[in-house]
Amino acid sequence: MLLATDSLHNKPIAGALVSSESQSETTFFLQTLKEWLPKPVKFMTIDFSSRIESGVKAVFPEVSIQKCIFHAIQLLLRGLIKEFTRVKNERYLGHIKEWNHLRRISISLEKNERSEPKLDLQFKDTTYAWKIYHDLKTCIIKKSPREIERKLSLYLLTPTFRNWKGNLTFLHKYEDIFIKTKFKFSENSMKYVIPKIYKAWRGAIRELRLELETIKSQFNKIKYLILMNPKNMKPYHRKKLKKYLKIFPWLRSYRKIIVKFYYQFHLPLEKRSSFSFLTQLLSENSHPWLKSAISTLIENQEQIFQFKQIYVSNPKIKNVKSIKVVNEPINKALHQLFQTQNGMRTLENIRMRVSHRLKCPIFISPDTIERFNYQAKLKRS
Amino acid sequence: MEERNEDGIEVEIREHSDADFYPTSCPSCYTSDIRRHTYKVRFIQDLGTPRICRRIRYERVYFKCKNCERVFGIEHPLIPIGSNYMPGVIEYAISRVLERGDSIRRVVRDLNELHHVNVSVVSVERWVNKSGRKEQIPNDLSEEDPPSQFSGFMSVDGTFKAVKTKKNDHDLEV
Repeated sequence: MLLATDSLHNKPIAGALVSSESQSETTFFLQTLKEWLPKPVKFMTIDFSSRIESGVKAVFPEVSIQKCIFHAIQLLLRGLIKEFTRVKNERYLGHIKEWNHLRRISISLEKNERSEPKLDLQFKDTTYAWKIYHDLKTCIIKKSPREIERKLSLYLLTPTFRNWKGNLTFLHKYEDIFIKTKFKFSENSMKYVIPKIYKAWRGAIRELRLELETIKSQFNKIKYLILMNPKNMKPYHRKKLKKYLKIFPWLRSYRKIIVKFYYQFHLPLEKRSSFSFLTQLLSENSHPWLKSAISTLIENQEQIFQFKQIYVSNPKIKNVKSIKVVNEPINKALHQLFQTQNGMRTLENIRMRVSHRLKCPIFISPDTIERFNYQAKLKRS
Repeated sequence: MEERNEDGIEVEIREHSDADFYPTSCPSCYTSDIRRHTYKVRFIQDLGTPRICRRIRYERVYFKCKNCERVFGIEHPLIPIGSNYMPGVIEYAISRVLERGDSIRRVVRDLNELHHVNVSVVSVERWVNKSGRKEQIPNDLSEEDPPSQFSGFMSVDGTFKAVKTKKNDHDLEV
């Protein structure tokens, strides 16, 4: 459905039910509007759809085009959300998966379900923890309990073990074996002690994994704070953002660029800088959505800031928000209408309901009618 | 006149009669020699509240011209001829469906349960289709009046929703 709205009065003018947002359908809709409207169109606000743009250029070649700033911001934010999800998967989810993998492998090795696999671990601390596991295994493999005790006590004092992040948790759980459960290194108790030592190692890596999961959930929270418009931020948002930026200092550069991006819309035309600063957000591995969003924004920046020139030439309409954004609440109203009806099944029904809901005339493009009739015939046959 | 039914809901009955608007002349011979001929009583449903059920006791009166002996009726200003519902009920249903976008079934349920108007889904659908000119399939804006206060600033946007055709959907004729 294509909808035209009077930007100054913020009221829908007319709409058309179309089969797709193709250039031919858009041109047909705009041509019908051009013939019907009492006044010529001076200024047109559209989103980033290339088909609508080409339709507008074909029908209204002299009209100045404004690209909706709501869609411009949405485009960048969607790209950044995708990028942050990629970073989260790469830094945290992959890491957490590796910890879980180590845990599963250690259990299956103890049960003798599999031979020792060759692990290709990506993260330093998982590799280190796996090395500790191996060292513990070489100590435990000795036959005499006395020897195992001696080897273990020597190993737990080595710098290799002391430098391990999970050493304290391990030692705590290791001591519990002999203090709480009162086991000793003897022939009889070895079958209980050895599994408990491995369990202590798993307890230590569990702590490390939980730490990582906390960081991951904090990252999920900061992700949306980083993207917030500074003008819409409440004091508690700022407080939280400050707190989380201490945990993730590498996100400061992102925040600075996003704030700069938001302020471009409030700066006077002569002080505005080019969107090329957004390329600082990109790296080789960046998500394709972010790359495409930034290139689209840079390409269309003149049209995004077209509203400033209009404000200068027409001071009366200064601060009319609907000049710079397309009327999204109408789409919301339509969505609600469709939800209430559980979808609509006939074109007549859509036309009637939408027309009354939006209080504007709605017509149906000939292509849609043809297509509808064809579908109906197919169903009947 | 007020009664209470078995559910404890107050039934409020208002009375209207064609005799209140006694005709001054015969519609065919225009003489004023008219007498009351016969009458029929109908109960018409009106919008009630959750605790009050409203009904209209409508006396449809037929008059007879003494001169040409023609029997005729008049159109009551508040009650349309042949209607079982007050115009307010129909207006309420249409505005809920077409202006607020509520579903017909929802409106019928509200009418039945909250307003004590016994009405079927098909009836409301018929009112809505008639009022919304559902049968019209315009493929341009030639029959519509252009906006009187168009500013020259326009925004165009597209929104897409899936439409499923009914199995026995008919061809659209333009």
